[in-house]
Amino acid sequence: MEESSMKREAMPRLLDLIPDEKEWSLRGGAPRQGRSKNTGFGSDEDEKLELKLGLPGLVQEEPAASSREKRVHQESPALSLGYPPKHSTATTGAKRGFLDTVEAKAQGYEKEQARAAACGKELAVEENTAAVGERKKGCCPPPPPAHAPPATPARNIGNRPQARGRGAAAPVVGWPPIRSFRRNLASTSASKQPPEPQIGEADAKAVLDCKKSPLVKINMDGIPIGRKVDLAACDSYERLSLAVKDLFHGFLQVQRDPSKVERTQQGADEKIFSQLLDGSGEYTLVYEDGEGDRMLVGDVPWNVFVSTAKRLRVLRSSELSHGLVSGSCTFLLICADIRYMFRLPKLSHS
Amino acid sequence: MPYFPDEVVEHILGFVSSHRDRDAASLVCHVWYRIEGLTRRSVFISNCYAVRPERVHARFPCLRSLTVKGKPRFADFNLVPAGWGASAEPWVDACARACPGLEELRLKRMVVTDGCLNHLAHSFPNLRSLVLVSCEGFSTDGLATIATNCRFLKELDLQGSQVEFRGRHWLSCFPKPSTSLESLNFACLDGAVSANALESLVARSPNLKSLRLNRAVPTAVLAKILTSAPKLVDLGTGLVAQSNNAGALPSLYSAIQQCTSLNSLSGFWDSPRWITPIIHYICKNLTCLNLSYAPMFRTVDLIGTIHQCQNLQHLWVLDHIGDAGLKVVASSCLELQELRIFPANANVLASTGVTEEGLVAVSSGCRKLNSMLYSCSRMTNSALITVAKNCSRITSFRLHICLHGSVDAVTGQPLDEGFGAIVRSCKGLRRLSMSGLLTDSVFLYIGMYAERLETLSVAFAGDSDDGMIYVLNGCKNLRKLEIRNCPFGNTALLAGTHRYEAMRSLWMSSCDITLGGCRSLAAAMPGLNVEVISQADGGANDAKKVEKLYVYRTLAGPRDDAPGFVSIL
Repeated sequence: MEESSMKREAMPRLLDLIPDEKEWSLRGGAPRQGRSKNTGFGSDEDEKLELKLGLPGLVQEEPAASSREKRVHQESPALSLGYPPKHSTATTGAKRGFLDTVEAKAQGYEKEQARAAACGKELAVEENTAAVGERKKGCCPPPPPAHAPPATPARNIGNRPQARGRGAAAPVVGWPPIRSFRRNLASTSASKQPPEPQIGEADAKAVLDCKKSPLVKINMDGIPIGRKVDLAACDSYERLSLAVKDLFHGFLQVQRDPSKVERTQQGADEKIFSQLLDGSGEYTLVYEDGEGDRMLVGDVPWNVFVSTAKRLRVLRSSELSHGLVSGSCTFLLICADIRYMFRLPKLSHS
Repeated sequence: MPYFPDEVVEHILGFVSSHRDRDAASLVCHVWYRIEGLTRRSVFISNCYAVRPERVHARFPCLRSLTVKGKPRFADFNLVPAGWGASAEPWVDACARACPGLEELRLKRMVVTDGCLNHLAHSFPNLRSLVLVSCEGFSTDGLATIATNCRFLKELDLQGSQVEFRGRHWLSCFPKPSTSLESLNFACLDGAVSANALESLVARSPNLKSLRLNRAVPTAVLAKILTSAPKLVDLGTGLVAQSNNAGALPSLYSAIQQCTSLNSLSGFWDSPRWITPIIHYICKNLTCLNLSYAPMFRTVDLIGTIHQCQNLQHLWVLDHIGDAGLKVVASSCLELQELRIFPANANVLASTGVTEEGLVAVSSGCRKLNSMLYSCSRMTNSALITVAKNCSRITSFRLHICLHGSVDAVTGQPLDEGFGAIVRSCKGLRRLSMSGLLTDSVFLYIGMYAERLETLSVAFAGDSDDGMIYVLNGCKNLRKLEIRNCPFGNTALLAGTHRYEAMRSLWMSSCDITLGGCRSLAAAMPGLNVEVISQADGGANDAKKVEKLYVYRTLAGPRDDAPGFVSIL
């Protein structure tokens, strides 16, 4: 068929590029000469070379994402690739040049979809346990998380898992490549307090007490009753925000004017609680650490936050600038303080 | 000139210090080989099993400084089972017999026992420098022996090693009334440190230039240390400013102000935001800043701190600095040469740190960058192409996208084009580590363009044997090839049969090679040790898949300390 003939055409060129023992020759011409001609990315030779790198599906076109998408859509029935179970359909073109297992069968495609769906669910389960819970779009792939643009052209191409087949969903030994003492660092520095008896044993004791209970008190402006939230049960800032909403939702309803319609109340509450973390809503979430300073929630890695937060507060955003000293303000104040202290000539420092 | 006196050659070679130049000189003729061997003072052994220690001493009888590396690099990521080998004992034994005047010993990824340290301490009275990088197997008792017996020790560096804690006494064992210590690094030590011993040690070490403390050292002690060692150039802080130590802060600030030579800072550990005033005092001189052990830092403080350090050349930081933080780095730290971003959270699926935007920002702002280690959650080809254009001086580029097999986050394509641009544009690239979804194309680019490449690390990449073949055939300067979880089989392995002797080592794990292929390689190349590391039983037939393969060239033949799970074919 067309594909296999294109492949046959492509293969000899590939073989040309695979060197024999003596030389590394490109299509005609010594390697050095060939390479020295290439100055920039735009040179013709390079383009031809790049296009011939076994991407028969893309030989005729410029790398425009949209046209590639269309092509992939057209070729979507021919999917089955060498590796079970998951493969991205957009890379079908690239792989076809190298693999022989191209089958233009509708059933193959359906099987692929079913497999992808199953894998997607696996991934979804993994995500739940890791609590990055925003991507439950059926078979849609794991990262990127909250920061990434929510809809990209790539993801509009059907349900296509992005991760590779080789153990993508399962935790892999030694990946990501971080040395073990770094892996332990975040968890141990979060839970580790002054380790052995040193100067200040009383403080070590106080600190140990804090380590035990993960329930932190949380108060909200305007609500007289405080609650407690279990930080260990939340795995991320988003979860915490939801938990806070659950805790105080009822109170807000009770406090509001009972003549208002319930629906609008709920809508308003949703809005309030969804903006707790970014500071743009009516309320903002802050926390106090062991030293009594209030800081905005969201700046430090989650596990570090869990270990240091001693109290939480939901403040009205309007009050932030007055009552709350944010971290950077504290730092500036202290800096100013110290600079002032030390500018005084030769006074006794404590 | 037919006659060239040996003494002249010897004199000239005395000025040649680089290992490679000396290696080249020794190949000129027998005379030069002999003279070079007699005069070489510093020997670097990149694989402890490549040669027997006795042979090294026979060729270089006057050596004074020995550097030996042991386990393959993937041992750092728990891919090499414990007990694999790389014991320092044979090397110390041979040295003790042949070269008692040894002055410097540097070991990396080796197993060093307390007995070994004891032997060291008693055999080398002249020892000036002991550096144990990522080593294990010893305890603070061993350190005590070293401190007690090596009276002229200038440098004791335990970077990254695992040390068993058996007491705090070792710090008091250093010589009295004064020591020659110039550099002391025990940052990796778990366990308490005697404050008095430490303060007294620093007070009696007038030459101390580099001091890296572990996290057990509180603020008050740090303040006293800095007061007595104002000439410090490199400082790794202990635990700074926990609430109980807040009272010591002013003395710390005043002590830091006196350290006008301080240009390198690391440590911080659990220190929260109070550290920023400290850095503020020395930010003008700071060239190296390592905040990668400090997950407690808040993003806003990180940014505020780094913004002031305009002369920074080396920056190691965790990824919660975010893209916004990296943009600040790009605008403030124009002298930056090395940047390393580590993940704050090892949980692959939860990482939210930096993205390709940060990388692009840094590459356009910091034009002097030559070494990058970037851990991110997503990447795009166009970002990599931009980086390649901006920073063509890069010699070391390591990109770790936390979820393996990730595609271009915008187009959904594999990241072949991006890495292709990097190898093509960065002509001096010597070290490359890749991640993301990669097909055989990227290996073709590497084979074609990466002429200077010496170390290549590959994981979850490639489609077929062609990938590995391209690299083996193309990269003439390749020394270390590390592959994991790639679909390369026996054809690929055997394609490089005649390459491996020119390389230091090859590591392949979770690939498609079988025992039969490894046996063929071993049979064809007797100059290689083909080690199969396999912990599952299952017969020894040729079709059996090989879990882990480590191939290295050697003059020493099969090693005799191989444990049961290693079979040398």
